[in-house]
Amino acid sequence: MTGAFNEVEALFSPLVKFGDGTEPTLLQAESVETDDNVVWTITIEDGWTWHNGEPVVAQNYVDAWNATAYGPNGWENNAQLSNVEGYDELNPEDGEPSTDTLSGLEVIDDTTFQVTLSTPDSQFIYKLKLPGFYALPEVAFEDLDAFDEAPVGNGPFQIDGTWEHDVQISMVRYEDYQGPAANADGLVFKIYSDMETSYTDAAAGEVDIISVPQTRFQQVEQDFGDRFISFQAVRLDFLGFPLWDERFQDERLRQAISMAIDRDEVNDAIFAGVYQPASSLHGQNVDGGGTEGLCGEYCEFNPERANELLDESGWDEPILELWYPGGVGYDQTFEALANQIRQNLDAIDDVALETQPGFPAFIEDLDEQTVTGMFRGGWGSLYPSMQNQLTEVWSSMGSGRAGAGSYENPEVDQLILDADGANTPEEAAELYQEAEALIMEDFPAIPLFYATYNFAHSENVSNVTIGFDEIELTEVVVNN
Amino acid sequence: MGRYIVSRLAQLVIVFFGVTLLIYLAVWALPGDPIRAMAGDRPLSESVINAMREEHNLNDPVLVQYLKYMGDLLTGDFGTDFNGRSVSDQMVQRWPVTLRLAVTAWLIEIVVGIGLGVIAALRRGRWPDYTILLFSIAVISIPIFVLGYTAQLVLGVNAGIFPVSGVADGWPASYILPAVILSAFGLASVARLVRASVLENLRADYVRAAVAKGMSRRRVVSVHVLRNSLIAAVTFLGVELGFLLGGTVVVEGIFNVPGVGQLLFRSLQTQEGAVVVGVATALVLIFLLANLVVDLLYGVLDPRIRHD
Repeated sequence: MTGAFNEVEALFSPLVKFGDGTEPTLLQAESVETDDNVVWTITIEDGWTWHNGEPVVAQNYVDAWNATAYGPNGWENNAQLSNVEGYDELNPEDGEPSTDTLSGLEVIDDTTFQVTLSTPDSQFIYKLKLPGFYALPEVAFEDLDAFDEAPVGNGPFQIDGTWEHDVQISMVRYEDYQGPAANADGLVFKIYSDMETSYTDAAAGEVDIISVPQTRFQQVEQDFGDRFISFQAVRLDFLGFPLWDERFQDERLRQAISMAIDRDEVNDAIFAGVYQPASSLHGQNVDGGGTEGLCGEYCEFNPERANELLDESGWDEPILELWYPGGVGYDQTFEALANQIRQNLDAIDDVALETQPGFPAFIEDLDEQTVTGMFRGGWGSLYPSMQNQLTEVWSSMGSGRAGAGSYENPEVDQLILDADGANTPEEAAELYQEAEALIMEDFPAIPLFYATYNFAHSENVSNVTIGFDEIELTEVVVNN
Repeated sequence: MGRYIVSRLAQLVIVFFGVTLLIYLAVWALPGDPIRAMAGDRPLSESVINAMREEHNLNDPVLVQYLKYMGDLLTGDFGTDFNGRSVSDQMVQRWPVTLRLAVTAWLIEIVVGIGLGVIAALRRGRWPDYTILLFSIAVISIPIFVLGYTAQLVLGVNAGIFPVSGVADGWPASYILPAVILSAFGLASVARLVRASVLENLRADYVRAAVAKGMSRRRVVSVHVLRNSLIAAVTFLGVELGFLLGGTVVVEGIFNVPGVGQLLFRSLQTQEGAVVVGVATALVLIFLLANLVVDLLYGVLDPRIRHD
């Protein structure tokens, strides 16, 4: 596994979940209600307990959210709570916060609490799946270090012993679980430092489910056949541009480069066709059914038109630069993209690969706007609403906008805000799509691929479903 | 002899400070902010970044950071990584694993390497010599990760003789295959080295004298020739232990052995200064100690070498 989502998912249950659908379904919540997208009332289903037997109460949620939002704690999911009223007081620009609780949280009774947001958010229910919105039991706050080693959760599995660092985490089924019970009696997360090795282990039948490393895409069908499962996540790979640099102002330049890339060929050659060539910012697995095709002809391979556009754009340098972090698995992809651009654009003699020494250096270059050519971009949304990518990457309030060349368009901002305040999911999706259409007109970046989650499993297990929460752990059946 | 050891140990202290400072500066000089990089495309909030920078002294000038780090170190506190895990805990968990792996590999080098070297020398110019020559050239010229993945696939996945990865089966089962791969390069070198010096010594005057005295060939080879031929091999093997400990990165990755090599590699990528300095310093100290032991061993093998 690359992330820790599955481990968290096994031990803790969120209020809502997605599975392989794009609609939030209630898990620990009995109801999540609002009249105005600002004040949300959340009721927890009766009967849920922590693994130590204590009931899950509203206060557990409020305590956890307060602790996450409290800046000096330095918890990584802090930013996820930024729209809850009172967040700014807990994260002042200078000095210590004067309080340690969010003013927007109020416990109504044992199983009900009320959340007040700073601005309307029609998609708030989607966010309840983010790790920053999970509950923590009382015992967590008594000794956080001990809790880190052996968390007491409220999920379908409970930890067996403690986390054996760098080796594995063992879990057994929690018998008092209130959600859909797990089929398996237990599970072990094995920890690998090299995904290649986990793949080899799976081929030998030593592990049952693995996340397939990109380097094995070409052979995975042959090795695992229909036990290879690919799920289109809400993830977009794109090429960004230094929009602050006047040489890149003309959108025809960006469109020309886009049309010079044969996405199908790169997809086949590098990703064994596992990804899907992008024709917009969002693939099908998102609220409202996605926006495929929004990019129009500019995401289609057409070298002739690309050369025309390049001439019109007035670009007069023979060399284009392509920036990306080196040594973290992108090299092949970007060499392939560079080749495509070089071969298909007549006026471009060479595409210089500006390989940066690792991710930290690359991020800093983008933050400080010292990048002088097109660059690697990517965004994975943690929930299947268009809101996440549009707000964080393409709006002027986004935290990830530096990674997309700091694009800005007030009309886009306004449409996103309107969608955030929309009364129905349909209305919201429509407004987000309008915002995305505007972005595609400006063409600040080149959509490349809708990426996928890729898993494979052994013959020891069946009923393996991959969705937004990665593996649907409770559904996995161990064959006898 | 005693004074020699004391002065060598005193040198260790100076090297210790120099090396830690150098490594600290090197990690610090890596481009990019490690805290910002933790989150990748999805940035952390400013307040979290500030809290973490404060906690890890990243807002101080580099020399102040270093002095704070050394101050903690002298009280036995190795600090924590950015995830809040204690570095000393991680080292306590990982050092024994790497030690086990490296020492196993080292023993293989000693036993098999010296053995092959002696056989090749005594059967010089006949098929055992050529077979061993071919074998060592092959092993030296194939990159270690090719050997590793191939052995893993053939002996682990297909034949099922060894565990594919991990250390769940304990020592020796889980360690043999990684240790053989790790030792391959040094093993071939030891064999070549021993072969050359055994051949040289077989022609030496004192061997001819011993043979003329009527001493059995077995005794001539095992007592006179071997002992004198080992000096070169001991130098190599002493330094080799240091290399083995530090060179486990690739093998630990291939076989998913949770040792310090993995830790060092990952920590360099994520710029975990405290971890890198802790692990690297320990490696340097081991290397220096191994060298000291080698120098002392010379005296035992060759009484003409003295440390006054």
